Order: sequence, then C-alpha cells, then structure tokens
Amino acid sequence: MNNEMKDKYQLSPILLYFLLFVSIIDLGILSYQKTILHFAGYNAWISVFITGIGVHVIVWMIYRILSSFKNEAMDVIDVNRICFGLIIGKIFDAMIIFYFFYGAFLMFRGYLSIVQVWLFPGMPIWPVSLVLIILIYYTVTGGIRTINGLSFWGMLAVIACVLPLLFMLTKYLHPLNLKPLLNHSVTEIMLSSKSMVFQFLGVESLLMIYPFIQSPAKSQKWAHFAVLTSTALYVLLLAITFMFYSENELKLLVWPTLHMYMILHVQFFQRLEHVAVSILCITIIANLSLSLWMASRAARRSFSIKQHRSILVFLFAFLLGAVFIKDYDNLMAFIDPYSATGFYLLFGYIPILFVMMQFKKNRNKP
Amino acid sequence: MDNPKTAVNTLTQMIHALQKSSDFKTNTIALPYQEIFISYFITLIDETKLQESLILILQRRSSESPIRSTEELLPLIPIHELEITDCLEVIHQKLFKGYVVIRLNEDDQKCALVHIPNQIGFRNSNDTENEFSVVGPKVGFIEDLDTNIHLLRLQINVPSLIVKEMTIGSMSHTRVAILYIDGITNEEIVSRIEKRLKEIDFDIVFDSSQLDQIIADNSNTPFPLFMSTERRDRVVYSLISGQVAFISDGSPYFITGPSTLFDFFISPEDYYLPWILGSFFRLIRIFGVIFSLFASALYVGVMTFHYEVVPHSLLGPLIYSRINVPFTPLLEVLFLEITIEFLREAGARLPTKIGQTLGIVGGIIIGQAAVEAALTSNILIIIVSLSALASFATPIYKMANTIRFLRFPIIVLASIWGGLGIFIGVCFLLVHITRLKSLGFPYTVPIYPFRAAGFKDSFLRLPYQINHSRPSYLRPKLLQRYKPKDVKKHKQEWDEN
Repeated sequence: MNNEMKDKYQLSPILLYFLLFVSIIDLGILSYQKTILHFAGYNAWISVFITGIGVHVIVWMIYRILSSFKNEAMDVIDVNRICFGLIIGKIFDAMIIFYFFYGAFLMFRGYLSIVQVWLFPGMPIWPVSLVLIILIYYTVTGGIRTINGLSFWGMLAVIACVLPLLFMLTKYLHPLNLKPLLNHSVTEIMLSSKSMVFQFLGVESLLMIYPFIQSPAKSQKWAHFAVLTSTALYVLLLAITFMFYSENELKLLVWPTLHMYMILHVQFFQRLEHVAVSILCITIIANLSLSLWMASRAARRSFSIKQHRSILVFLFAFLLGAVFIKDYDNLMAFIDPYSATGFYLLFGYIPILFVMMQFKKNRNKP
Repeated sequence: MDNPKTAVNTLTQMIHALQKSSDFKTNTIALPYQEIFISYFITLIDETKLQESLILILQRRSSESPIRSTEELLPLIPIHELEITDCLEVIHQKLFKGYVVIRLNEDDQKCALVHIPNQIGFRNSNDTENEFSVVGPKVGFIEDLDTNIHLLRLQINVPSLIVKEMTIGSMSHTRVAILYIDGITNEEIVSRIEKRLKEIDFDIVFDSSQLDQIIADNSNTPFPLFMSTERRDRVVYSLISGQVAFISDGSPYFITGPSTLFDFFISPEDYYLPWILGSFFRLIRIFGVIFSLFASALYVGVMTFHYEVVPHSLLGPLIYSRINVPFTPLLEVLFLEITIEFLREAGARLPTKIGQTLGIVGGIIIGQAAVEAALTSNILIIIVSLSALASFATPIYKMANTIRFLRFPIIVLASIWGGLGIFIGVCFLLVHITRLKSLGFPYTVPIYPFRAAGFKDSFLRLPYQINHSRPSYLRPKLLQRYKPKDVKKHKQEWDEN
C-alpha cells in the first residue's frame, strides 16, 4: 500500500471542515424542503435532526474503519482490498468510481437546469457547459489543495446565500405554522429522515480524502463539526421555510429557497435569487471538482489509470450527458437511483465495512 | 558578436583588443627609475581621483627607489578596493566596473587592480516618486546598488543583516544582492531564491523586475508574485518580517518575497497612522479593488440580462440615461474602458506637464462629449471613472495593472451569461489565485490556508501591542518581533486612580 503522501500535499485538519461542508451542502439546499415534506409534513424538522445524528454515527464509523491499522492512513480502495480481496474489491472500486462520477454529473446538470429555469430560459446548454468544464478541469488539475481553497470560498458563498434568508425574512414569518409540534407517526418521520439522507450525501468523500489529512485523529472533530453545522443550517432554513409558507403552498414549489428570495430587496437590488443562483456557482464547482477528483483518484489507485486521462473522459461524458438530458423533469428520473445508492452506501456498505474491519483487526491482534 | 574573452590569452592581447574602443586608455607614466603602465576606461573612472590617489603617490614613492614587484603597490595606495591578480576573466570584468589596471612591465601577466569609479549618471534625489506617502519618510532607492545597501544599513543596524552578492547576465555582469536577516528569515527561502537566481542565464539585466519574472513560480499569470518597491521602509519591513529582498545593480526597485496577495494592499502609511485609520484605509483599498473589478461587468450584466434586479426607482434613471445610446451595453462599456486605458497609457508615457493637460482633455472633454453625442450613458461614465480611480487605490502599481487587465475578461463573460458569467469569472480567479505560489508559499494566506493570526496584519492593521509577531506562514526562526506593552486588563473605577 503506497499511501504515504508527501507532506506538501497534505491538508491541515481544519481544512477538512471546508471540504466536507461544501460536499454536504450543495444544490439540495435550494429544494430539500419540498422533498422531505412528503411523509412527515411540517414535522420534518425532527427528521433532519434524526438524519443528522445518523450521519454523525456514519462519520464515526468511517474514522474507525480507516484508522484500523494505526501506522498507515488508508482510503476506501485499501479497505476494499482488505475486506473483499482483489477481484470483488475491484468491482466495489469500480462502483465507487461510478458513484462519484454520477453524483458529480447530476450536480452539474442540476445546476445548469436551475440556471436555465431561473436565469436564461432559452440558453443553449453546450457553450456554458464547455466553459464550466474548462473551469472544472483547471480546478481538478490543481490538486486537492486547490479544490480545498475553492471549497473555502464555496462555504462563504453558501453562507452569503443563506444568511439573508435567516435575518431579512423575519417580518414575513408565521411561527404558528410550526404547530402542532407532533402530528405524524414515527414511521412517517423516519421515512422523511430516509429521504433527507440524500441531502447529506457527500460525507462519504471522507473515504477518499482521509489519507490526505495531516493528523487524522485531530481532524475527526472537524468532520463532526461539519456535519453539525450543516444539520443546523438545514434545520434553521427548514424552520424559516415552514414559517414562511403554508404546507399546501410549499407543496407546489420546486425550489422554495429561491422563491423566498423573491420577496427580499435591498436599497438598489431586488430579485436576489438571480444573485443567489450565480453565487452558488462557486459552491457547485468546488463540490463537483471534489467528486471528480475522488473518482479519478480512485481510478488511479485501483486501476492505475492516469488521472489526467480519466478526468478528461469524465468531463467529456459531462458534456455529452449535459446535452443529452433535456430539462429538469428529465433529470429527476436520473436522480432517484443515485439517491437510493447513496442511502445504501451510507447506511449499508459503510456499516458492513465497519463490522468486517473490526473482525480483521481483532484477528490481527493476537 | 565574438566574445572578446575567447580570442585572447594574455593580458597584453586583451588590452590590445580593448583599445578598439576610443574610451579605453593605456598610459605610460614615466618615473625616475622605471615606467609604469596604467589602463582604464576613461568613461568609467574618476580622473581627478586617479591623479590624486594614484599617480601622485606613485611619483612620490618612486622618486626614492624603483618599485620591484606588484605587491609593493599594496601598502602604497590609499584605496581599499585593491587587488593583485593574473586571472584574465577577473581583470576583464573589473575593468568594466571602474577599475584601473596597473602593470610594472608592458608584458606582465600579473597586475594590480584599483577601484576608482566615478559616480556620474546617478541621480542625487532619492525621493520616492511612484510610491508616494503623505505621512512617513520619503526615502527611496536609486540606481546604484551600493547606495541602496547603504540606505538599508542605515536603518537596520545589526550585523545579522546579510548581503549576498552574485553576478547575473552574460553581457552585463550585473551585480545582484540578496538581503535577509540571519536568525529570523527561514533559510529555506534564502536558499530557494539563491538557487533560482543562480540558475538564470540571461544577457543583460536592466531591472530587478526582469529577474523577478524569470524566477517566478508561475510565469503565466497576470498577478505579481513578488513585491517590488522603491521605498526603504517597505523593504525594511519585509526584511524584519522574515522575507528576503533582492535587487540588481542599476535598478531602484527592490524585489521582496515570498509575497501574498494581501501584501499588495498594504501601504507603509498604515503603520504611521492610528490603527483604526490604517485598518479603515486598508479595507477601503480592498473594497476599491473589488469594486473596480466588477462594477463595469455588473453594469453589462444588469443592462443586458437582469433588468429585474434593479428596483423601479433606479431603473428609470438608468434607462433614461441610455435611451439614445445605439450600442449594446458591452460595446458601450468596452468603448469607455478602452478610452480610459488610452488615457492611462498616454498619461504614463508623456512628460508630467503634458500629462496633466491630457488628463483634463481626456477626462472632462471626451467624457462630456461622448455623453452629448449619445455614445455612452452618463451613469456608465460615472461607473467607469470610479472604477478606474478605485483600481489605482492599490499602493503597488503592478497590482493596479493586474486589476485593470482582469476586468476585461469579466466584462466579456458578463455580456454572455450575465451574473452567472461574472461568477464563472470569479471562480476562475479564485482557482487561479489558490493555485499560485510565491517561492513555494501559498499566495492567498491568510484566507487559504486559513490562519486566524494572519488577519491581525492583512485586512486590518491592529495596534502594535497586539501585532507583535511575524507572519507564521513564512516560518521565521523567531516568531516574536518585540515584547508588547502590557495591556491593562483590570477595570478601574472612573475618576479614581
């Protein structure tokens, strides 16, 4: 296992926070209110809490898995090799590569459709895709440090997008909307939690970036902190949304966060949703680049494909796919399998790895 | 051109070859017991000094007994830059630096070299001309290396200020001095800069800024990766914060590094004003740069695509001002931006007095006429001239140029994809500056990699009792600069001691 990173490629623990925060919070922040409403109605904020706690457990498990062997920092490729052997391990590797790539692609196309809906309805897709692809290529070839730097700005962008909603909407809110506090069954709330897992996808990137962290043990608190802050952000924004819209109204909207923006205005600016969609570009690019970096890194580690080549293949597939998918409704069909896979990856695959690694560790001990 | 060095093997041949130039003189001084031969470039040496400190002394000494060997000259001549050598290459180089060659016999290989340079051609005034400050010293550097180092030594009175000299340039043999403070500066920086400078193969070095481009980590960037300054206080400040400075002979600009993006928004004046004002002015500068980068692009984006983001009350005047303008916003903005670039470029090249007149002609008359001829809108003129003004709020001219250049791609992007285009441009910029390195150190410290302590002296200039350590990203050997005054923490009652 040739996993010893040179010191200059490594990230100090606090930087992990930005990476994780940005890979958790992405486009979902514009529309998640609607999806989790489906089962638990206005009790859904409890579901967000529950999912948050679940994800904390997953993060803890990931750390236990990857630090099983004290003297070497592993990533998921090594773990697959240890748990499943060479051939089955490679099949899992391939699935993980495809999973990261597919997630990045959905984000890419999803963002473009939001731009099409909110900013430029008649915009042809391929020119803007091309420019974004060049941008992503430039980011990914800068390595994990560049992606991390952009994630920092991406995090600021998310904050800049969400803070006005938290503070400027106060006079339009109806706190009584939140009542009754509990009128759904436990099953409904759990089902909502399950659909909320999709918004937390991104923590699994820890599986790949772990060996790049300087002192992994210290970084765990930052990983948990990233999950904590994103949970808090989701809950707060959800509460604001619930107080702003009535339940039936909210069901009709596709992007409630952006709709809330429409009412805001400052002295010389109104319709801030235009600004918000544009600013989110930074976050999306950071998020995408991280996923593609992980996919190409996994491809290199497992199949020894040069990162430059794999990234070009991925980006070319982006361009084709972006033109192939017609609109947002069309895209939704592609999202469901991803979100299901993501759920089983977090709450199936990772716990299995966790149990297997505990066994392996105990066998190695005596 | 043939290198004269390759054709000659003896000193006599070399002197013979040099005599092709009419300013090269070889004189024979006839003394009572012997003849002495001296050769020099008359344009490079000080003739009166030659008379006083060389010829007169030689005459006086040799009236008693003949001088037998070159070594006997050493105690005679009251100039300490004096050496005896028979190495042709050294002689050749020194001749061009204002040395005089003394031979006792015409075909001697061994000779004495005496340094008698003249100082004509250097300006006497060393006021800072391009980096002006209202408060604080106005001492700047001139085109002479020794004077510059002298100026620095006057302020840093410790033996640990190290000057390392080398020569660069196959034809100019320019002296380049690297300065740092021993025991503070991280040696890795010094060795890195030394290594890069030594690897340079170049013909003539005109200015330090050429060297700075050659040794830069990434030459395909509009951003300056090293600070270049003509101000003494700025160089001293970088030296004591653990950076390295270098300068080439003949250039009034010191290059200091490794630099970060935010160094370019620091003016020495910030340290001479109360910290509240200093911090305020820094923020103004950073705001100015952001404004200058995006103002015209925002105008293009809003006027082309996003009318709806402008409130009604403001939309009226906006539309009214460009109701007669026949061009698209992009063309309108480019027209004005390029006019300003013309003005700047012409103003910078013209003599000062004409430049001022031109500013009035350009700024007022062209602007006024352009609006009356309905080529541009009033509001755009305000935006463009404000952003031109703001771009020059950065204290370093190099950075101002970068900012001025970067607006154009952003304007074009804004004209294609509006707000999204602007932020695509921002993304490119952010990725680019994150990828940049100055001498291997990240360019965007303290934002990324994030260092909370770095904010004390980057965006803000906090008071001296807080701001007492060197920037940690430079990994200085001694972090603490000075012991701060104790801050009184206990709360006293008012009106009582």
